[in-house]
Amino acid sequence: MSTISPTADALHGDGHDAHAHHHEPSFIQKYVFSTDHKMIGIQFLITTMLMLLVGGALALGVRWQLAFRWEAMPFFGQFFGAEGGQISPEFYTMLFTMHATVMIFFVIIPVLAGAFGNFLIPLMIGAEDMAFPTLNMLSYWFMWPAFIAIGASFFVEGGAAKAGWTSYPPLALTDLNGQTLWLIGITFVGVSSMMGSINYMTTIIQMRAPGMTMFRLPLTIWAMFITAILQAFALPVLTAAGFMQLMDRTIGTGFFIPDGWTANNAAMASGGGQPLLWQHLFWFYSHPAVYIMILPAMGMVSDIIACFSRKPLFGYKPMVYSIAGIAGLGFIVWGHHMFISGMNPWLGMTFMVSTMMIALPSAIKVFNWMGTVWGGNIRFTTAMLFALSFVSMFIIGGLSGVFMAATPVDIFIHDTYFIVAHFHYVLFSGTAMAVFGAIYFWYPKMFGRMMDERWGKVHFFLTFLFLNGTFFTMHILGVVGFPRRLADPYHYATFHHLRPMNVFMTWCAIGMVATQVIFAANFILSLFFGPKAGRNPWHANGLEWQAPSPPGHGNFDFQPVVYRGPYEYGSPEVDTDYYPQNQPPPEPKHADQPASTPAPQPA
Amino acid sequence: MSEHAHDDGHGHEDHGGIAQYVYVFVALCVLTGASFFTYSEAWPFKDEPKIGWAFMMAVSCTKAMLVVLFFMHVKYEANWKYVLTIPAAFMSIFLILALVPDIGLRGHWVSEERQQFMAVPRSADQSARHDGDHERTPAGDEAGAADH
Amino acid sequence: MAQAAAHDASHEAEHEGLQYHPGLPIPNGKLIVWLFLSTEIMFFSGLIGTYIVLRFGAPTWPTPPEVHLSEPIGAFNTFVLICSSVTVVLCLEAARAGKSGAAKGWLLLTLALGSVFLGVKMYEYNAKFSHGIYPQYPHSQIYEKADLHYASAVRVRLESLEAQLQAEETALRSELEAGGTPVDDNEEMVEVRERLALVGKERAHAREVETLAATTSNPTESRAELLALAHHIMPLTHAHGEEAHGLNHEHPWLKLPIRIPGGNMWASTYFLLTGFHAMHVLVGLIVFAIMIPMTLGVAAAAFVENIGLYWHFVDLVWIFLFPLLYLF
Ligand code: HEM
Ligand SMILES: [Cu+2]
Repeated sequence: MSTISPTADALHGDGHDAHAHHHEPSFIQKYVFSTDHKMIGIQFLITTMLMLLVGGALALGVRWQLAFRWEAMPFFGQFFGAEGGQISPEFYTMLFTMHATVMIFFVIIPVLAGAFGNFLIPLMIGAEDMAFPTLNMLSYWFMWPAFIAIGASFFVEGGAAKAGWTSYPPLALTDLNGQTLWLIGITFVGVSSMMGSINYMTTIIQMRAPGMTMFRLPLTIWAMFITAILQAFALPVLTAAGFMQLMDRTIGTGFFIPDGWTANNAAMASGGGQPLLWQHLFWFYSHPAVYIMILPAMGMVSDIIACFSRKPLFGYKPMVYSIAGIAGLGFIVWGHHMFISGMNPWLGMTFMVSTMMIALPSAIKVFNWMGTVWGGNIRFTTAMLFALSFVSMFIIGGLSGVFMAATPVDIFIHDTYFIVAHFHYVLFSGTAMAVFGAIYFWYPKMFGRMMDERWGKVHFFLTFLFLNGTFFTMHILGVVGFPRRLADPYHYATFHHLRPMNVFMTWCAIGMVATQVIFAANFILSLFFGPKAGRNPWHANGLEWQAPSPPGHGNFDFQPVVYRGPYEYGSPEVDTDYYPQNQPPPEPKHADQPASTPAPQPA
Repeated sequence: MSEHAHDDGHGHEDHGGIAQYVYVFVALCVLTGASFFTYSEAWPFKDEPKIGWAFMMAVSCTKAMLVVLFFMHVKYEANWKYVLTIPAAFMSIFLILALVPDIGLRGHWVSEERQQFMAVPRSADQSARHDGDHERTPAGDEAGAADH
Repeated sequence: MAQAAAHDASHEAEHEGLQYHPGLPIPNGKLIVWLFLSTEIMFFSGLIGTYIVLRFGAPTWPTPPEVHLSEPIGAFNTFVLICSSVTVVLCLEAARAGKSGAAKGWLLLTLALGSVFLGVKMYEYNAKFSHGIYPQYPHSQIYEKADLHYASAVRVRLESLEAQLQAEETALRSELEAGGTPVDDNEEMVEVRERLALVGKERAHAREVETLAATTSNPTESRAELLALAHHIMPLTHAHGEEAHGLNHEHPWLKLPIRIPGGNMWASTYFLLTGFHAMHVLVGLIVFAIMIPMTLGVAAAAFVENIGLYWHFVDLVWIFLFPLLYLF
């Protein structure tokens, strides 16, 4: 068997990583500047959880204003807002801009690729670490300049960015320094993701355990792989566009400045640029980015659902192809965000058709999940509940997407709360719920202890209830025409009667945030008091479950060798209802199996 | 060491060796000269800049191919080279094409109001100065899009 | 069940060098460099694509002489980069053959060629800056059209020049008088006075044009005057290589605002593209410099190959930038 040496860290000279085995790492090496993928994954996880808190607080500010406009906000009002804790219109725009920025760039993307990608990829494919551990560490630390830039932007003159997370010029060009810091922050996030994604691709291509063919990879890995490809192709374009906007703002180039544009009574800019150019470049990244924000979640949900249905995943290959199909189509649909931007109508029609096509692979996935659950021996663990809710909520989000994809409909509902409902259904009820599920599922592997199932279920049901209370209502508001991104929609008398609904939503949102206290307590207390997990608490098949919990440095205390795909639940070949990927088949025909391999046997 | 895994099939002697690099180098220089030729007096299509552009892009693509195939050794790589190069090339061309209708052709649909603020097309500028002197200049031609 | 088997992390297994399934037949380092280059392709296609659509959608675009762009210099730089690509492959071949010394020589040559490229680039940038061609703000002297804004900018510049020259004259005069030399024949004095006369005349003219443009009821007439003013300062040119013989050319110290239709967008895109390309060159040079003390033998060949791939890519970008920016 020809092998590829894993420690050839050619970018960083010869293998200093190999030496790391021999001396005990110091505290700093082990917990701060760690090159171990598991520690980096956990660092990402903790950081994003804290960022989730920040993003949630900002969201509450938005909700407060929509329900109780111009009333002093209790508690949070002390920290920000105009005098007396009131939220000013400028502050409101800043709140929703930064809410989206923090949630998208500091929570969802890094928790999926950074935390779970890092933690799971080497473990699931049977590698001892990433191909380039140092690069991996850098990808975490490159997030920090972004945190600092965006964090600092709250304190500069004029406050943080206020042009929406989409940063459309010319509005974004008029903003004060907050927007400049925003752009710098996004550039760093981009560089960090770049480093991560090329590293993941290399690792998945080169460092699979013997026998782990591409079509024996768990869907989580497939999803991570394709997400990495998406990032590699889409992100550089955003980086380029971000630099251009940065230059427009600082040294005064004119890429996005239209002819004859003036702002703040300043002299007329010479212009010659085109604001639509930004929208195209931005969405060329950001539509693929919404798939970056959901494909890994879909992968993890597939693994969870198969495990707790005790059935092979229905249609493994179609699942892989539909991920690839979503990714491919994802590159040619970005214009559906621009239907009423003044874009060329021919382009608009093309984008409408391609967007509708993307519902197909999405539907394939949904049906396959349902096929997996169908007739299964379902175990309603907390992780499974979250995974199932992901599937059902994604249907709602996907369907509203198809509505908006139809140009005639979108002309009416664009920039209303319908859009807000759509992306919260896919991003919160979808991805965030899947992430919760994944945390409950892989927590034992990360920390060696189980989370509390009873409180987990309480957490699930309350979150599920409150999130539907908050977000479903948004569809109704949207169809009425309630606009997004307006500090005071009640300025228009038409919307007065929607006030009670908004109050209801705000209470649901507060309840939802409060519920997360249960989760936080469960997470922290289980670190110390949770029951010991053992290697394979869920009786799952993946390679990661055959490693110790938590895995030591180098992950495996044996040489993993793979004989089958990850979804062989209820196989007639063995007595157990699961059949780990590395368990040799019962017939002793396979003499070529390395004799030195100790087959780990969880009884 | 794994670093040489790719040498298993063939030594680098059959990469063509130094002589091949020299040929490629000469070819690159000649091609650079060729695109530079469009700038010289002898270039016959001075009135039709589009011909020159197409010619230069063809030359550039050829040069790029030479560099990729021989200097970056892609000619001698296994099939992975297609996976890594073709999608990227395709995506980049696709991106540029998708920008054409809205930005590349923005002059076609510009409102009169906006037009007042735009830089004056060179031809209009010239004719105003020479008072109706409608000489055809290559530069005037470049302004094509906005003349409609 | 399995929980019992959980005596885990503490006992570090002897796992050095797990075995892996055959992947691609190339080292990880080379694979990741190729992947990195694909992302770079997308980055530059974002930038170059922007240039292409902005340029060909623009109502007008400056000719090279107007923006002091020299095609032969660009061609020379292309040649330099091609040479450096050759030296990098030769360095790789030498390293593979174990000839560390030869490899080092080629590497040094590459470093030198790269530095020449950057030096020429700096010279070119300087040529632009010294003529007031910047990406617009705050130094740029470029105006899109000859309009009222332009005329008053010219007038303001001339007025400040006049004030400056007058101060100079006074200072010079008192200096000369203190020294007891005759003021009127002093060479320096003559020059200052000549300049003052010129500035005064031009200022009066600019003021006239400005007033006309601000007050006239006949836009055609004022337009012709404005165009004439712009033409007088720097005429538009057509052919490649033709020099612009205007006031700014004859008296470079004037540095009057210039009218270049499309000039700001030209500057934006030119500095964007060449700037990012130059930054990539610089990164390559830094890595080369770091490599100088290394032994470039067979063991380092993989590393040389990887940085070589990057360097060829940088060359490749320039292969497209040169015609797009200089010859189109
Ligand atoms: C079934 C597939 C989907 C379709 C057909 C679809 C369609 C659309 C359309 C047409 C819009 C633009 C609406 C407008 O602004 O007028 C939109 C917005 C959005 N979609 Fe989707 N979508 C789909 C799936 C997703 C997924 C999976 C995610 C994220 C994980 C997502 C996230 C978003 C976000 C964040 C926005 C709003 C962006 C903004 O304007 O701030 N979508 N979607
Ligand atoms: Cu989209």
